[in-house]
Amino acid sequence: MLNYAWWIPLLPLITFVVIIFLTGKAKNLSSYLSILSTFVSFILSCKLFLYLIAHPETVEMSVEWFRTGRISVELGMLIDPLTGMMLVVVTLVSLLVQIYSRGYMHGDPALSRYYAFLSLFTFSMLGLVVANNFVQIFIGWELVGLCSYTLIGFWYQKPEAAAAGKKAFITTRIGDVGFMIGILLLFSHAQTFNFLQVEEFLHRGILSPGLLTLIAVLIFCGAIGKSAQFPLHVWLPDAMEGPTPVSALIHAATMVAAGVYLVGRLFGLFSGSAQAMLVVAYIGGFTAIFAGTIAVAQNDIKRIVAYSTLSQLGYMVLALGCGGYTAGLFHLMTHAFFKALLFLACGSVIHAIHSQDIWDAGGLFKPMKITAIVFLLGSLSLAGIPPFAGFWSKDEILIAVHNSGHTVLFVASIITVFLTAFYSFRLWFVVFTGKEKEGSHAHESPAVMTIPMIILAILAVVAGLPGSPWMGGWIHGFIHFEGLHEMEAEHGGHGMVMYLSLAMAASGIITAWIAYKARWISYESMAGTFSSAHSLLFHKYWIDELYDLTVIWGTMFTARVSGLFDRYVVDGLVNGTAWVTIAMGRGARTFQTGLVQNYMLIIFIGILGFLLTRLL
Amino acid sequence: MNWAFIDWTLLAPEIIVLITALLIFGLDLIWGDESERETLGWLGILGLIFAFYATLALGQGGELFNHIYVVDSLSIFSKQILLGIGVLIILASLDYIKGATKYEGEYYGLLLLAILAMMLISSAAELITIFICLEFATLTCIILSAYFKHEPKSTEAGLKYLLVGLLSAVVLLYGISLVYGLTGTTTLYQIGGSIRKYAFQPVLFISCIFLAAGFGFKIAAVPFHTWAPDTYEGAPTPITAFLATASKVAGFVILLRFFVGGLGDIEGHWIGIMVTLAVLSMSIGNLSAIPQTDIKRMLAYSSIAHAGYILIGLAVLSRESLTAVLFYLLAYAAANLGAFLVIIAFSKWTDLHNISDYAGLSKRSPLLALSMLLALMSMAGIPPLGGFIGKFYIFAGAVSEAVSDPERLWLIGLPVWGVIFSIVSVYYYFGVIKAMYLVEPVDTQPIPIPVPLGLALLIAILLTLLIGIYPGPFLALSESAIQSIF
Repeated sequence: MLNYAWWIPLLPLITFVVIIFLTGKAKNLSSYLSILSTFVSFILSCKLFLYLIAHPETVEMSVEWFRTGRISVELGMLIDPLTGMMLVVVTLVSLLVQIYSRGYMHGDPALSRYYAFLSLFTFSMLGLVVANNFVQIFIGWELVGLCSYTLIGFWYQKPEAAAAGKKAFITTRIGDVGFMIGILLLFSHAQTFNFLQVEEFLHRGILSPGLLTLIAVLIFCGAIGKSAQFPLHVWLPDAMEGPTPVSALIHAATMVAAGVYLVGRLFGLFSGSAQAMLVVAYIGGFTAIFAGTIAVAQNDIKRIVAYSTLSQLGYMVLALGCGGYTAGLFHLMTHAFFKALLFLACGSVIHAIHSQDIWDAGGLFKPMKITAIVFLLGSLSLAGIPPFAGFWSKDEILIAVHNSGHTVLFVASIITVFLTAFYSFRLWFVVFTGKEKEGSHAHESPAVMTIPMIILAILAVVAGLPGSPWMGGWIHGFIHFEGLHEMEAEHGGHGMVMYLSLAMAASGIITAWIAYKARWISYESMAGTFSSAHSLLFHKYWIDELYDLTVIWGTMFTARVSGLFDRYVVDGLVNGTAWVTIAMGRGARTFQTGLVQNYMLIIFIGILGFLLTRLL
Repeated sequence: MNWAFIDWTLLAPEIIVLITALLIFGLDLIWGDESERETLGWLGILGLIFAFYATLALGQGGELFNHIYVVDSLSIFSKQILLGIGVLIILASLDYIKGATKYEGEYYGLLLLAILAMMLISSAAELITIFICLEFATLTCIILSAYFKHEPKSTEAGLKYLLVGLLSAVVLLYGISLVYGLTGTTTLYQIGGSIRKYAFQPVLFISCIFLAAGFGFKIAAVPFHTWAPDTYEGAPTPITAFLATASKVAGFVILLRFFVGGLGDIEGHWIGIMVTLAVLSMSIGNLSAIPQTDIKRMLAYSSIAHAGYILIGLAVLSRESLTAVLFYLLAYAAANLGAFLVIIAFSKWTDLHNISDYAGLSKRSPLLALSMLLALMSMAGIPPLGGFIGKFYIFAGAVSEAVSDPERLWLIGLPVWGVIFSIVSVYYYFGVIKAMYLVEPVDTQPIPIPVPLGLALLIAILLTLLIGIYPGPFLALSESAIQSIF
């Protein structure tokens, strides 16, 4: 009945193979193919989503992939409302990004490679989202990492891009090691990789609480890496070296969403351990405020938005850690739309002024009306102003944090609201208002770029409605975790939290207006007065430098030493072995004389040998 | 014997192949026109496809003539592989054979007869029948090996196959006579039922050796392999591919049926022989492949080495490892056919056979190079290709049996040996890959791929990929096939 769901991930995979092997030389054909297949995937996802609205149930479909001994590994799909929502979000954002790229990447010589990897990226994420077992989710997970490497480093001719690709891959891999150990540890006790069976196993309560916490934290390491939580957040801002549409995809729907999705998918595991939940909540809360402060002092348009992604992801993780299952995943969806929008709009700005520095821009409202307006809508949504999408989901998160009773986390998240509003509007005021720069020839981007932005802008406005009282908090009924429902409060009863967050957001916007639009105070002198604090924020708390001096230096040192060992000791052994093997090969060859008499003799000796071994 | 009670439908695939072969011989006589000969090839393909279709209708199978001829899941599995190989070989031959010989029609007829012989081997369960079927197969293969009778190498190939084959036939027959002398019967079904009584007779061990030598000749296991390199090198390339795949499949099926199915109760008598054959084949096969310069000769040694890996499965003798034997045969056949199909296309166009001649193939014909790359990587056992999964199951079967039974812990040495020599094999496989991808071509002329051959190549390579990526159904197939004897 739901068999068409298999095609949702398969189509992008097929497209990848087709582009790589067949249409590599036809750049336009490759891009159209990729867009078409994503479009069909999107339509199928919508069909599935509508079905799930009518029948909110969990369906599992799988085939056995391979088996060794008692271990059976499946390829399958676990379809529930969460999967349905994610499928729509991923395919939609991917589709819009691909359409937008037709304009943004126009004339790039490696366009086929670009679309091939976008397709593979989409496939990996979809494969991860539908996975019904740990092996499949891990494969999708690693493929996502691989694709991010190839796409961030897409312009590998630029050394920074190549380095950023490597950094993204290696940093997330560090988290993945924990993830894999967690999976194997869990498997060694549960004897299955299947999610539903693991859940059943956990219900039986055989696992000791300490072990459960360990497994949950290890698996969470994977999410820390992919969703760029502190302390593995360093790759995400550097990932800005990739093409901007790729950043939009990574930041909105594919890579970073994977970590949050993982925690959501395995919520049964996490919620079983209060300590693990605490770890999740504090990591998320810290990342939210930490990244928010960094964003305030950045000058690169993409980096500001990138740090805002970090901060928002922190919110989602925080919400999940506080038991706000619906809140965290709802924010994942709304954030996907407004963040993809902001990145595409950034791309539009960069396309126009050929610079990423916000101080090179200014007064762009007049020449780029559409971009300016959609950017404003995205920022309002991000800042959490009603009735935009971000408001509803962020409000859910704040209520969840408030209800959990962690005062420190609640204060941090309220301060982050202020920071979010401030840096988003700092960016907007600097780029779009004020005087146009000398010699600027900025003009609006072509329709192929603006239309995807407009669609996303509409979504950034309305995507929050399922969480609003006008739809009766419908999202709570749709995406919820069994047995946890009572923990999440209904919307109306928490006026205080709502007014507080509104006040913080409004004051953030007003502060930005005072400093960057009205210029009542000079931000230059402010930065001068608090120069050490500004420098700390500007340099991102020196975290990269810290890693350079400790982990990276240590690794490189070990690598050099083992390199010497490898060159002189291991290579010597290997070459020696190879030499001996080749010599043995020459020796073995001499048996083959080409004379039939000798062949028969060998057979005769062989039989005789067998007889003798038995008789003696 | 009452012929009316024989269920002829069980023989439908064999009968279809036989009729097709006879039809080809007949039409070949009637048709005078050279250009129509290709039609005979297509007719052969049609016959094989029909026969394949007939095997699907066999269901649970049955036995004929008092267990002399059995149609069980093992023989059906084997026949399906053989028919599949047959289709690919004919597809590859259509272009290759054209203009190379005057006797095109007979070539297809003989090829069909060879396939028929091997299908009969798969079902034969009585020693005389086994012997006759084996000789039937060997003779047709000899004629096909020497088919280019004006080429000295082809004649040499046929002659060496004939002479060594004769010796092995004699040894096999002697072994059979000893078994008959001991048990008073030649039916495997009856031998298997009473063999335990004779477990302490030294003659039984001698007959095991002789039979292993006879069957070892078919699968080209060391030290009964000596004919293989020369025959593989000299025979027309499609025939080499046929020998390296179909002949090996049939050889292993009869080995399984006789030793596992027939003598399974006295495994102590023959497991040692299998271990020795496995170790020798892996070592000599892989080491001798290293210095080869001729690509067909290199693949001949590689096929000897693969026989060694597969023999591990027989020596371990567990449900898991025997399933792995059949699975490995399938994966090996697909990859090996892929490699040989590339060689057929390449040598038909260039008439060159050395590994160094493949320099720059990736620039001359990217598709051929890619296919060769995948085929060789599969044979080297690199994931995610079929050969990797095959090796994995063979080795895993041995390890899990060794770990579960402390008395058989020594078995762990076999997969260790296998892994070591798999690494050695990477060297010579990658020698070809290096030539294709890293060395600049001397001759930059592109190589055309005939459509039928391209189709066969596509099937072989896709199968290699599919077995590696989605082994589940193939494993289930192998598992149900092995159930009829173990």
